[in-house]
Amino acid sequence: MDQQYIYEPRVLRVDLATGTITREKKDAGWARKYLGGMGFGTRILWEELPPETAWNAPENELIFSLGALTGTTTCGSGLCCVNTIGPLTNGLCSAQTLGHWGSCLRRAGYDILIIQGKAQRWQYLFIGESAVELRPAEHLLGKDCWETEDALKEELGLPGRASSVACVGPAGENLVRFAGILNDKGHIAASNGPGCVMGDKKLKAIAIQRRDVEVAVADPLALDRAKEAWFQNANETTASGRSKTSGVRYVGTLGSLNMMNMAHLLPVKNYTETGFPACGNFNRDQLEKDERFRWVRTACWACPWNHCHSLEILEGKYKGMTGDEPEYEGMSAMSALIGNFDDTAGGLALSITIDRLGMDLKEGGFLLAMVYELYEEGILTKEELGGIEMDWGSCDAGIALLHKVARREGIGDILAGGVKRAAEAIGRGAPDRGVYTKQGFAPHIHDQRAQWSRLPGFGMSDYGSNLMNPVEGFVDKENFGIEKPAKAFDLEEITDHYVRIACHRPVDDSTGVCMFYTQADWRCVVDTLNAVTGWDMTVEEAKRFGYRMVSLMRCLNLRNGLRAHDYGVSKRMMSPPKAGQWSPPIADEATVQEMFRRIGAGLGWKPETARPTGETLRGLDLADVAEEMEGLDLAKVDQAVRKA
Amino acid sequence: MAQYIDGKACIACGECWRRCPVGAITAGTSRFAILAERCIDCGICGETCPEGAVRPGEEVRPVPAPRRTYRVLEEACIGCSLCARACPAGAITGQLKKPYHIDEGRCLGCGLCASKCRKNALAPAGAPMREEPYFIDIDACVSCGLCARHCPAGAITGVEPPLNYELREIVKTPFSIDPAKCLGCGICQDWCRVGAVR
Repeated sequence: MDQQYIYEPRVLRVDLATGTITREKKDAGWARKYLGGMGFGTRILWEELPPETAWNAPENELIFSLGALTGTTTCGSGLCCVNTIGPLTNGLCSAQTLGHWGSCLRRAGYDILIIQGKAQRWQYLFIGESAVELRPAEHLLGKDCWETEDALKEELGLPGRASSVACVGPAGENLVRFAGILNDKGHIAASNGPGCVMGDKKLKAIAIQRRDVEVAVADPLALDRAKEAWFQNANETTASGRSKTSGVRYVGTLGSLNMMNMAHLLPVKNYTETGFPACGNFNRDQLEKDERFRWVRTACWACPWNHCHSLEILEGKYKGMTGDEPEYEGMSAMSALIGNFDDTAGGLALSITIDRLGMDLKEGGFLLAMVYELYEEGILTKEELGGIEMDWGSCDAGIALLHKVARREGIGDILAGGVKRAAEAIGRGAPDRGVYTKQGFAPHIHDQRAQWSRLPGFGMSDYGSNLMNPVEGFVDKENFGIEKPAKAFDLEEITDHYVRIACHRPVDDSTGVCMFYTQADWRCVVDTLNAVTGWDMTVEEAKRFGYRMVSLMRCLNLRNGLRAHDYGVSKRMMSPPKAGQWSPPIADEATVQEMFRRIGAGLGWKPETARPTGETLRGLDLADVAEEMEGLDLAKVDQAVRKA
Repeated sequence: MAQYIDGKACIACGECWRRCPVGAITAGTSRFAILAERCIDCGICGETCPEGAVRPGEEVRPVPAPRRTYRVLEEACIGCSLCARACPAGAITGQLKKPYHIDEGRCLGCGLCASKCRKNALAPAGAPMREEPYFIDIDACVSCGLCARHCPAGAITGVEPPLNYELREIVKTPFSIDPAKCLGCGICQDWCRVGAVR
């Protein structure tokens, strides 16, 4: 062990308004308390942003933060977290991306990149071997995310793995509220629209030159042993017989459509139906045999699993389209969710299109689904849609509409606000049909009605995506005291298990490792963290960090203007299907709020305000947060402009 | 044919490391490398690598700069050739009974020449030799053998251990330095990539 090694995260700070680039360090105690990734980003936003910061204010910061493990040989250690105030909720955005960009940033010598201010003209940031520079980017405007990466790599003379590019596409340039930041042609930080913030700052891309250097760690030999034990553990199944990784290691998430359909989790035609008999057409094993498509494995940093692939369509009207293989989310959105039963090429083309334009496919998927339904019911007309005939399952129509959204053309200008805002702007019953959270973002592409545990996961989320690991199937007696999975509609079991594992997702998003790997035994996780950092962290300390972040995220959002009544799910998520193979027991508003109340109580929050108590915050080493929250005049915050 | 892993292409997935039948691949903290002395050229690593990062040829590893160099004090040298015969780098040349000459570009700074000279005719320039012998931290040593390979005095020994593939763990036996033979030159420390030589 290197007794001299101390993990002090290195910060690169770029002020786009002045062009100033500075470097600093965070101290070791801060690093241990906030772990990395989501923890770092959220805490920096708390420390540096004033209350009521609008997503498009110059004071808003765009933070890229790594975990301690990012860029090491730990399997799956490519994770980079993007934190900002997001435009869909005007609250915390914490989105994660994999690929290689994070490992390149680590090797460049930085653990945190903070983007401040707004540029006068479009720029890109280049982090080279010998210099960090802001350069003009007007010539890149209008290019989609693939084209931008290709153009930059050619311009820099750094092709292939010699560099990594994170960029926004037309959606980010045009301030689509659910625009994402895409890196390495297939990995995107998109929940709650960080790409929109990047576009608002007129930053088109961040390119990093890859350096062939070793990452300093405390104990290289211990790292070897710990990370391999972790890898073996992640490949096992849980005591309930469920694969810890949901089969990702063999077939990626694209291989799970059949399973999700059997579990009633596949959303069909905007939740109007249940059951998707055609899912076999879109499952990975079927698509791989189809000679119209070519798949090439494109692994993330340090990942040996057979998950990510690039995709090329070789025949038919979409011939020549290249992109990233859709995950489960992309394929289910562009098949079952939009009523596409048999057009596999069209579904793939839709998924490629939304990626290239640089938009969150969860938000985009539910947006399209809502428009298809509104068109079927005559609420939206062909004229309003600019001549597009949005018949269920028409992929060409979907592609045409996505281009309008990305460029804010015609009705695209309204739809660019995301599902909730678009539904409210359209009116005429649209809000009752949209699938969204009250906070303002759309959930994952699941039928959340099939497992009540998912309703608080999204409805209580403070960061734009699923806050809590799905409770169903989760078993871990050793670390979380859960011996058997919670029943799908049992309020008592669901809320109890939620409180026990509420700490899980913040750790998933903060170690620097892909969340599929962090489903392993947490003793492996802390062993590996300790090998890299020289800490002596325990599982209990890691759990405490997780609870700390859950309450800190809530305080950040309350300070920024969200209130208890802003959390929840849309009416459609609490409504029965109109047709289909089964009808779930529906959780009504009272049931959903009861779940929130019980979970909040279990986390030490006041039920009426959903606000962490001072005692809870101080118990989690957040005394400064407690003081500020107690001093905050929340009535005054209420009056602030919350939705920019 | 020798092979190496291109550090700029390696994505550290570790699949080559897991599948190498002879444990010839070593894990760094953020990349993998082939130990040429163990490699049997079976090619499994190249076939396994999803990035095509395994390349033919030798990896160019930076040679540590010598801490010191020696020069001959011509007025003292009697041309006995003892130094030239001791030099492990072949850096010393000359004719008998005339002052010898050291090629500074080849000199390792090990001081073996000076240890053999009876006339104090060799002088170092740079860091002094260390009086106390070096030693290897057994917790840090990864048994790569680089120190032993470059020790001019043959003072470092070690046994490369067998591999336990059932547990997928490489059991390492640390190397050790014989203090009686150690010159104090520090070349072992310069070559160690894990800071195990103290």
